[in-house]
Amino acid sequence: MTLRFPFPVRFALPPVLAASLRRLSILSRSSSSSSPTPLLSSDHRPPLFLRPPVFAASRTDLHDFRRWAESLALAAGPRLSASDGGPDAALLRRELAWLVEDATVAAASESGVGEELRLRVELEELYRLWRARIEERRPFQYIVGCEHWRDLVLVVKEGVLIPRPETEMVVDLVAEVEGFEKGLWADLGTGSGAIAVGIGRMLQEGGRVFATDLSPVALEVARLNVERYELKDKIELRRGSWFEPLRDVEGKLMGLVSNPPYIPSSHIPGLQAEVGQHEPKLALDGGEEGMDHLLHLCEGSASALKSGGFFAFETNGDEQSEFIADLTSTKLGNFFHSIKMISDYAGIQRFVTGFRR
Amino acid sequence: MARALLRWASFTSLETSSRLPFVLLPRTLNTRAPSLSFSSSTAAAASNYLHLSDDQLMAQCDMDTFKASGPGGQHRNKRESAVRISHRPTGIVAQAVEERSQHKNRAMALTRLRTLLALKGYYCTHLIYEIHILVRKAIDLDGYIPPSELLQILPAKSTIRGKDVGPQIGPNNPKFALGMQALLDLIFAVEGSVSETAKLLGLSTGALSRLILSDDSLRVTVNELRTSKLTMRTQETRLLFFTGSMASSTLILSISNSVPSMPKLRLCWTMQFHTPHVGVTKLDHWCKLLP
Repeated sequence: MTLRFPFPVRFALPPVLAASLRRLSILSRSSSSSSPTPLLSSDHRPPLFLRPPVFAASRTDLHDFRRWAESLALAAGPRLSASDGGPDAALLRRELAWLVEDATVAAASESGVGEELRLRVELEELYRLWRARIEERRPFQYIVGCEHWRDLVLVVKEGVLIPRPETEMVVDLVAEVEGFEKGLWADLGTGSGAIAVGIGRMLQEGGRVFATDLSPVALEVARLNVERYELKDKIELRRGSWFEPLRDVEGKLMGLVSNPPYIPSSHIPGLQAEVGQHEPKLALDGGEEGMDHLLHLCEGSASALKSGGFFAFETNGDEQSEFIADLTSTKLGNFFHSIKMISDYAGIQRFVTGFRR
Repeated sequence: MARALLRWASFTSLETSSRLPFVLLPRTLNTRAPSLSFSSSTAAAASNYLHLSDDQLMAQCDMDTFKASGPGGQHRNKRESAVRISHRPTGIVAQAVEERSQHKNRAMALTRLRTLLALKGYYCTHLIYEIHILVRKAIDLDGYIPPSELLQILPAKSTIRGKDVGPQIGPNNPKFALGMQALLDLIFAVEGSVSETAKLLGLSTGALSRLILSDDSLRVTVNELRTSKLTMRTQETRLLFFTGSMASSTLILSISNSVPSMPKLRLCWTMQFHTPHVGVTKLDHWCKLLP
């Protein structure tokens, strides 16, 4: 028994992680006053999977929770997916399994009958969290405080964009660039730091990523993720708008990547509730045509990149990609060459890449 | 023709198992071909996709994420992390939805693809006709020595498993598929007898059964092999051909019966093939070689 559940369980975190968790709780509290988005009361707490398992519940209790949560999911799924393309019942059930995975210590099915389970939240809190998922459409990733992205587990919270599966490919595009391991890179509008961490992990001696963001909440979350993956010496976080914080490395960058806000303003009200009502507008709204920031990035890249430097931008897809590809190969054709559009795995032309002449 | 030659070239560069007898599975049959030939100059050796690295195997696959309606990207919260890969040379499709990132779903789908490839056997390819067929490897049971891939998936108590083999590899390890493939070859060679297989592997029948039960798809395939009446008595005919579809079975049969130099075949088994996790049930057709 004691082998399965070594009680009393102490929350043993590596010092780095413990320190960064403390910092997260302090800073997010202080930033909540300056942030336009009202932050929820639970927001300063670390992600579920990093909390100490100091609560207990019986196996039956957890079983009851699952049954209740599942019936809620089955009832709500068809309605949510039909109304605004929200999650269907199958996705909600997967999310429920992941929630339990993050909230419990051992896989619930592995141990015998009648044992107590160790939980990272109170059982009542688990009920509250799931109700918020279904009724308030709070994104699952904000509820558990993390998103699995590539082979990473990234901390996220309200105020920072949840990294999307499509964006995983940006890291692959970078890895194809010859000699990328030793170059200077910039991830503009880094958000949770997903792309920067993905690139940072592949870099070698001399390689470095500058990750910028305008939002202090995003930078704090990014800092936590950078520290969790021990990349402080590879990734430098800088606050500011797009190229502003990068004046000192102008013309020296080997590569620029960005997943800028690209949704046309008029589409924002029609977004699925998880996105439109909970994620930061700052990270979504790309202006009237959705391309305000993309255009700025294209123009800025000409002076930020060194000769032979590479860029990869995510776009809203097809039409935007065509526009950006056309712009960079004609009007800005003096600066760039080998412009390509690259499809995501759903077949949408999602990325535009190219090189500085 | 160029495509076929290309494929031939890529196959011969692989680590291939011993040359196998083979029959043809038409994919895009070239009707202008003068005749069908079985000479070894036009036949590729059976190729084993399982020996490819993840990157090499992925390069033979198309990947998609279930065409989402709408623009995706920032518009959506989590829909496209589910991944489906289809293996171009064989048409086998594997998918994964349950992992929490696209990256991991891709890795899981690739592991499943390996499993599906292992369950079906080895691929023989005809140089000219771009034709594929699956066979099980014929095994000489006298003096049988299991390959190291098979030894690795055996429990430590096996008497033929040396100390140098390392820890036992379980179903979640990508290398499990290779061991499973060799195990199925052996079970097939002994006409589905689990006890005889156990003896050859230095295990008790119970221990081997537990190994077979440890993986759902392995269990299903072994049961299919055992319950079928297809196992044959002589070395020459101990061969099953997976043909993929009824249409290709019919085509193979008509070719085999009209070309004198072809081995004679008979359609003998239609198997309901349920792919776990994918929820797809389809019919596979098998032919057997007549003496």
